[in-house]
Amino acid sequence: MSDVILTADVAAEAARPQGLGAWLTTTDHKRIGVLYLCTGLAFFLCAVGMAMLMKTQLIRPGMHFLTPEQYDQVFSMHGTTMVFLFAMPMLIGLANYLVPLQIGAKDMAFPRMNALSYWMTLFGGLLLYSSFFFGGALDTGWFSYAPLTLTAYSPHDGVTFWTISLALLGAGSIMGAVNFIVTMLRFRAKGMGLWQMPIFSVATFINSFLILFAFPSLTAAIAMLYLDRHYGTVFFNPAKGGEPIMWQHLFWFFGHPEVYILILPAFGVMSEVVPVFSRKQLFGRSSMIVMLGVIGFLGFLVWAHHMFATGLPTIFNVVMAGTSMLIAIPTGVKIFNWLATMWGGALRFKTPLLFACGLIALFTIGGITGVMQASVPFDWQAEDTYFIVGHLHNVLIAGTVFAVFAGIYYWFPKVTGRFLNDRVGKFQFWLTLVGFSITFLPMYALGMMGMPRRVYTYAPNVGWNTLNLVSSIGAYILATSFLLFIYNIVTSARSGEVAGENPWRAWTLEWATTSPPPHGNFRWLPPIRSPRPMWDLQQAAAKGGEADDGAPLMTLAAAAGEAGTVIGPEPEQSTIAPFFVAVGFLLVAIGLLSTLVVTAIGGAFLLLVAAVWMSQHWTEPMAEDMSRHRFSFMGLSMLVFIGSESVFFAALIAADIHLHIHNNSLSGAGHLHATFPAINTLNLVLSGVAAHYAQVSYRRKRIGAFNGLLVLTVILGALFIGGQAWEYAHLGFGLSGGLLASTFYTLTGFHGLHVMCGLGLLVFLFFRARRERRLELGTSPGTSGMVDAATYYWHFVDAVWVAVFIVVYLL
Amino acid sequence: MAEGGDKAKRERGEREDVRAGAGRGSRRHLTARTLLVASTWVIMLALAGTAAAASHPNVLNPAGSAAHEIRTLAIQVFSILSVVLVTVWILLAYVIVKGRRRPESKASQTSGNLSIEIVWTLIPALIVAVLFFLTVRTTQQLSLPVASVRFDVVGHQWWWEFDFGPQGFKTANEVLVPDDRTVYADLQAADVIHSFWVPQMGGKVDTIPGRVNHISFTPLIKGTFLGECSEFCGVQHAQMRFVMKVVTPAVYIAWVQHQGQPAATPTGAQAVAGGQLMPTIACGSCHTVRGTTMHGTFAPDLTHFGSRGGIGAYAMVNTPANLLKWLQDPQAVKPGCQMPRIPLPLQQQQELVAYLEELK
Repeated sequence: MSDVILTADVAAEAARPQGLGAWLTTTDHKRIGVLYLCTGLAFFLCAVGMAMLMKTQLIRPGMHFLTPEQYDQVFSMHGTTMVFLFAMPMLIGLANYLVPLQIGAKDMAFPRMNALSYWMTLFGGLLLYSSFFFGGALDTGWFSYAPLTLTAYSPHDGVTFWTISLALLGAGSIMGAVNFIVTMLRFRAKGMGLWQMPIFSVATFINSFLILFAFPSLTAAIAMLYLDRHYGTVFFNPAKGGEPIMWQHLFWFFGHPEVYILILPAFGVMSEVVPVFSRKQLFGRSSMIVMLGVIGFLGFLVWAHHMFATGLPTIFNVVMAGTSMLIAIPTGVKIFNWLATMWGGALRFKTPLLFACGLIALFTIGGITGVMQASVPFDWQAEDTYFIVGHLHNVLIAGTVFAVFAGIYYWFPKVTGRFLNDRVGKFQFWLTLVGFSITFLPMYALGMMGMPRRVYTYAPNVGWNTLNLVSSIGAYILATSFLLFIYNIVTSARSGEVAGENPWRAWTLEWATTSPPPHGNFRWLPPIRSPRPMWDLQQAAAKGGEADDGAPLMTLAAAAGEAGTVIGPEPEQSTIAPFFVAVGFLLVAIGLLSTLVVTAIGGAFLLLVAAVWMSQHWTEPMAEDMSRHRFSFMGLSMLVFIGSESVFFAALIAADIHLHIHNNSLSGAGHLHATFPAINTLNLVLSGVAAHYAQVSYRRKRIGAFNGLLVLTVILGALFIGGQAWEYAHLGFGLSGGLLASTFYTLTGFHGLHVMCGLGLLVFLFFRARRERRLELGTSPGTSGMVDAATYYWHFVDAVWVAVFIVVYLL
Repeated sequence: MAEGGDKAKRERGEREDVRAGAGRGSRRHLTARTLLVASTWVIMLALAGTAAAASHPNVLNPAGSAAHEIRTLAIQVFSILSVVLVTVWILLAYVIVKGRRRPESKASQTSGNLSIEIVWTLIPALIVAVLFFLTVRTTQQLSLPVASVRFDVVGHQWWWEFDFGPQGFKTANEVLVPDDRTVYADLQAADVIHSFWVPQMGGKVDTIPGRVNHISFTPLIKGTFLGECSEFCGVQHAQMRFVMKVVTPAVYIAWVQHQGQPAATPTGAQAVAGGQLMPTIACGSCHTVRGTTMHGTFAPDLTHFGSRGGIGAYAMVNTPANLLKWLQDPQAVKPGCQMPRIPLPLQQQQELVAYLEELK
């Protein structure tokens, strides 16, 4: 009977639509994952190409292969591409594909927003690359220090393209983070506690919090940079009271967690691959999870180790050195735990395990050179030299990229139903290892020999020639190995050896379904009693006479005598709405690069598509057991999002306070009248009260009261905005009026923008509730969730105003 | 069902064969590959080692007090951490060698061991504590002492200004310091962030517009030491070098006094012509030659240009032939630099070269 179900579903899978339209409208997390992975690989090739251009230019001093302007664009775009358009999409793509499978869910909590995240990423990347055709790309480095990035020193638009593209990419990432968190909190299969999730999912869960709290700092920084460049604000302009070093604080508060964002999922992959290919469970699982959390947490406390040479107070440097060194402890524990997992195991050296061992051997060098740089005086020598270039590539390639390779060789059979060629894989591994070593290990020496980074050429008579030549030769070898990887993927996808459901005889839930899985992921779930459900099933099956733990799922189930959970087929829901919302955001972005008319069109288009999205018929893929939760997953997701937005405002406020400290003349209390805004504040506070009672009324099913109070909330909110507009008109200074203008308009302006979005949300909610009432549905769970979400958002906006008011008017 | 079972057994058998086959053939392959990797490493280390030994401007070849302290710290930190690295490698090699032959039925099922985990959490913590202590100690040793030799440094796109205000002169891209006296410099930037770095003297400090940073070190060995900008500052960041010459105090004092003098009067025929020509063309709007009518401050002070070793922040060595090339087309030597091409007939260019080289 069970075999019949599985066969029937495989047939259904073959009939799934495959054309361009299907891919543009998909909301299936697996397809979205594949889109991310393919996009990541495509950008990887671009960035590798750029690396080869640089290494060719550096073969010997005085090469005229690239002009300095070209070289500067190439190194800047290489870094930006690798971080934001290769590493993040690859890791998020793997997570997208695997997390719902690993936790026994049908899809992500928000499948449409999941698709939207992907399209934002693609459009952000395309917009960034379009800058090559519009006067040149970013040429100030992937972390773009001010004031070099101000228009006085970078007049062409490359920097602006970078800021706007990063905004799109960041928005997509934050949406993805919310999605992962809510999915893992609310839609795990029955019996799977948060602690029992596979480590890759746990790593993604923790990583999502890093994304949530790190990216807003970048958003704040790039918003300020954009305004400095195009609207005359002076955040980073020292001549007008701005602080270049503030850019570094804001950027690195994002930038350091970002590199942990790139390594935590890699560690997650390690913890999946090492046990399976050692035929032995992960050693010290609890501590592995705790250490992931410790690394994530500490990652937020170390940012200034990128700024040791900027002249910050010694005590600050020393504290940052301490926290930076502390991270070596959880990282070291993880390395030892992986070694302990392999100790006493039966190692099967397929390609995934090769890359895992390669990571242990080589990433550790990068970790060590990292701890060396945490030592402040040594960093004063090594900072901004090739020592750092060696270190960063060491941890990113021998860490992130090796883990990505291991993960792809491991999960490719699940995604495509075919193995990647293992002999080619092994050859590729050794070629990558040799290529990596020859390219990057000499860079440590070059740094110690005094060679700075980001140089298009170097002095011919100081002894750097040989090592540069050697490094460039290594780069050619490394690039060849990457091409070999692509070759393996392309040929194996078509004609690789067929793999079954569980070709590696692994133990987590993604292996409890067909390869590839059907839409909806599962037709039958084994009972979940431990972190290794398939191991438990295989053990029970062995007791029942089935010795082969790689047997088909239903065979194991029958032998084990487990009833499990039968799951029906899931109808596929496709919609073009996410794609068009991304188009709307893209138009808004293009307008910010050209003319605000396009932004207005984009905004209107966004509103239209958002209205369609929110009113289209959509069935949530999974039902929640509301008896166990205070608020629905909608409300939860808004709370998570609010966490992220809080960091955005905190960054703006921190910047304001920083400027206050360094500029005695900057004083809102001295130059602004607080009376009118204080009265206006009453509007907002009263609207918050109204919103609260609207939510209460809805819960008590008093729809009339709900409608009335909702309208009152909107009116009071609109009055607040009106008051703000009146204040703006009577201030006497515009955005380019100096330091006070810069801080005043960004804090109140971004807050006002949030209020207006909130008003839109409340208005939409009103019409949706009315429509349901007309349809005699009473109060629906979906709308109830939206009521929660909208009210929490509105309270957040209120709370932020209190902080903004104090900082702007009373300091 | 039976078919499925047979198929499963066959697949399993194949897997066993693959494993066994992998065992025999790959032992040879593994040895070959290990040798290949090991040999690349040995070559890399040898290259790196020979390249690093006693070269300029090498961090591990210190000539100043600060660089000495830092090298000591680097050796201490690296030695401790290498022990960790080698331990990891030994353990990895051990588990690989032992584990590749082990049949699955013999794989152990341990899932953890609290005592061991505590040990390998505490040992790294101890190591980190030691490293932190060494770091703090060296940081304190490097705190800025009282200085007897003092000047200002201003980073420009893409050259270095050395301002000896109290002694009444500015120079560019080259500075002399006396050995065995503490040097203390105020660091500023005129435009964007640069970073002042003489690897053999000590660590780098950024020059940030709107802010004054400080650097201090005591030169210990006489010689000529290369300095570099170490913060990406635009299109000619790669050619923003300078030179620091460590000399005896007597030579230093003589240099300072000489630099304070106005420009030398030219003597050669061509130089005289050049000296008359230069103030009449655009040069003075950017450059200063003290004692003439040229007072520009945007570009390097040329009052004693002839005694300097480099052109364009050491984009070229200062020879008459090179200076001619520079004057003819600075953009060809240093594309994107702030000096425009100034079209002049060859005769006049040669006069200017002769004049500038006589400004010793």
